[in-house]
Amino acid sequence: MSGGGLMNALAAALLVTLVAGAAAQTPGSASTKPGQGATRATAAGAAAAPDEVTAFGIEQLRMYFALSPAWQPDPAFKAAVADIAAAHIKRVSALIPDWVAEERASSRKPLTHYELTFRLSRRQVNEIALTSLESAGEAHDEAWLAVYSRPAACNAPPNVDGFAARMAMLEGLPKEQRDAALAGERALLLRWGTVRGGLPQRSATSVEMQVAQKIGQIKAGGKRDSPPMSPQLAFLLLTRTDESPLYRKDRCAVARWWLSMQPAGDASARRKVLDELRYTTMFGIADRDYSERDSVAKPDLVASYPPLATRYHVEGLITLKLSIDAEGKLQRAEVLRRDIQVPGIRGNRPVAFETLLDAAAVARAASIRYAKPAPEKLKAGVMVATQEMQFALNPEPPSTATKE
Amino acid sequence: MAHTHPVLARLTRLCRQILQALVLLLAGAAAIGAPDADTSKAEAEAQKQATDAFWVGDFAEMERLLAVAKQAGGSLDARYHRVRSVRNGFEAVFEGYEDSNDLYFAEVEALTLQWAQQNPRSALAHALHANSLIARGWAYRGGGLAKDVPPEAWADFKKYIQQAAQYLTVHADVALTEPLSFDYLLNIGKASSWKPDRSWTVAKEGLKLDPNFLSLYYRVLTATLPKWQGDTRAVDRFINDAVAHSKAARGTEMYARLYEAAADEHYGHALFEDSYADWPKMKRGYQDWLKREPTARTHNAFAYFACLAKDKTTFTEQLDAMNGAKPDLSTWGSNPSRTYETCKRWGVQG
Repeated sequence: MSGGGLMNALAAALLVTLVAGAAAQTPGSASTKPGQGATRATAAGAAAAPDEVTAFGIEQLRMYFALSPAWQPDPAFKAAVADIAAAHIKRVSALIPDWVAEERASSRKPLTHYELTFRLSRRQVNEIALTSLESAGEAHDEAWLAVYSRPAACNAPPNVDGFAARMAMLEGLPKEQRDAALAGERALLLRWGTVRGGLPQRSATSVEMQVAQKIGQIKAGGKRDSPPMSPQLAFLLLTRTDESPLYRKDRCAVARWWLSMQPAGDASARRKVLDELRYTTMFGIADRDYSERDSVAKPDLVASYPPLATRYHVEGLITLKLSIDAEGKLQRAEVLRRDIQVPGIRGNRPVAFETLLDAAAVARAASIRYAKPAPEKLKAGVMVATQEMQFALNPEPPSTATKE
Repeated sequence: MAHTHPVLARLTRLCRQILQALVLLLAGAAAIGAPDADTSKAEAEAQKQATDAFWVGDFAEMERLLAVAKQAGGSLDARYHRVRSVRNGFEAVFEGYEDSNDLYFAEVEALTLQWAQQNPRSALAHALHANSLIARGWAYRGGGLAKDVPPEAWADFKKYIQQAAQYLTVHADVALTEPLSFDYLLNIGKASSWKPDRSWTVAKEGLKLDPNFLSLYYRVLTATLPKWQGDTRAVDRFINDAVAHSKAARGTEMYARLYEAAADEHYGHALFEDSYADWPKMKRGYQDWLKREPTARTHNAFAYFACLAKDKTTFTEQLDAMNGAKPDLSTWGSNPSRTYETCKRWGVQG
């Protein structure tokens, strides 16, 4: 279950750390106004003892890779997964002191316990996300495509979270394919702590956006070109009025439905499809930290910094592709590029965090009054332009620059 | 977690209900020493699996679960409960939620139609599609009295019920090999104001396929009640017919089961005043039932009706059989806590 106990425990551990960090600050500095909270915490907090931070990092690692007793696949499979998890915990536990040292070395000022643990936490979440995006080869890819073709793929057993939830998805595969998948998972975990090259590109039109278009068609009652949904998805997408972000297992169901609409293709096409599925079901920070779900759903995106981005100190530049009609109205805005920085993540894309500014960027683009484009700049009724949105956790409003 | 997802909330509710049922059954089993704890657990699991499979659109798994339940070993009742659990598991998805809109029902209709088209020889697929139409119709009507139905809802209700009837007619050769189809037919009959005799004739056809499919009896009973298309005399006539029909396997158990249901649905505490229920016959019915299914629930129900019938000896026997366990309040009629207390007080008076 997406909202299960382990995730809540992790979020709670994170909050405890936050509170501890806040308590170490000077009075009045506990608020996390953009550009203020984290910097003051760093300046005011005491330097941390590295061994405590390392212990915290190892505990977080163990929590994610612990196999819940509630998960009861066939014993041989569980033993194989436990073996992978144990080897990974052992290897990464040995890396964590180096990660702590890296963090300390990266900062000109001494980092507080709060900042150090928070940075370690971000790094681990990003490593998990990277693993869920990567391919370990053709057999691994084919196994995951087979997983997504199974109706029950997305529903992990109750109270099974973290690594076990990912592994539970492999349960229904034929043994040979399951073994190939496990070998791939083992290989991917060995990449933790390294710089990853060759990550798939995130498509400008995500699966969720494509599905939202199909849902719009269905709700409008016109002709539809999509197959029937499962009752789970029908409830989720056609009935519920709650606009909070979907849980990972629900995004997985969305991805399965999208998959059922994709034409059969060659190996390259199949790989592209799988990349989309991986991005849709990737373990991101919002799957770890539920505390801001409601505010994520309806924040004032134009006036305020996105809450999760504030909490995790996500800053950077979002480049949008805009379609502006002859009246100067924004018809469409999509994210072309993200140049994001997150403390604790260096060398790799901060994939677990990199969409946290998207909605705010689009909302801000929509709030701008554009001049009517010159007629010669219109193609098919719209002018296409790019716009950069700078997000920085400082008191100044985000800078914007539109280029035709 | 700051936010509870509706689907999670629903699954949690379902799990809670199953667990509560399980706890009650286990408590009852412990009290009377009946070996049904494992069976109850298996039923709860079967129901959840059936709901889960339908929920994610796994038709192959749904067929497998039903087939496994039908082939389950054990007693007549164990098989009955197992198959019923799977059917109830499917039904949970048809029922939707309080906030399920017509788009939800339309999607379930389209999905089940796809299954039927992809599996034309599958009786279950056809039955489920027919029921998707019925469920869509009833969603418009609601389960209340006719006076509470919005006038504009009647047309949609009738439209979908007619479509379901037509679908089952066209696909009768395959669909009517699955007993569930008869349950759905009787639901159509209820919506179409069939005379009770017609419902009973249809039910008997379904019972030929599965004599254990007790829902068919209950469906006919509902149709026979005064608030639907029947009257009190018709109720008694039907119940006696049902006893005759099931006597070989169940003795007079159906007399107790059906009058119990009649009280629950219509007559309430006034069963013996307002209907033709005959206590000595009902008592024999419970005795036959208990011979095969000595559960806490049945002892509770028997005790309640003994109290209504002012049969103190039987009441005391059944209370003793409950062995001090907490009462199963689902069997004690309306205002069950007070009913249980007043009956118990009456029982101990000299």
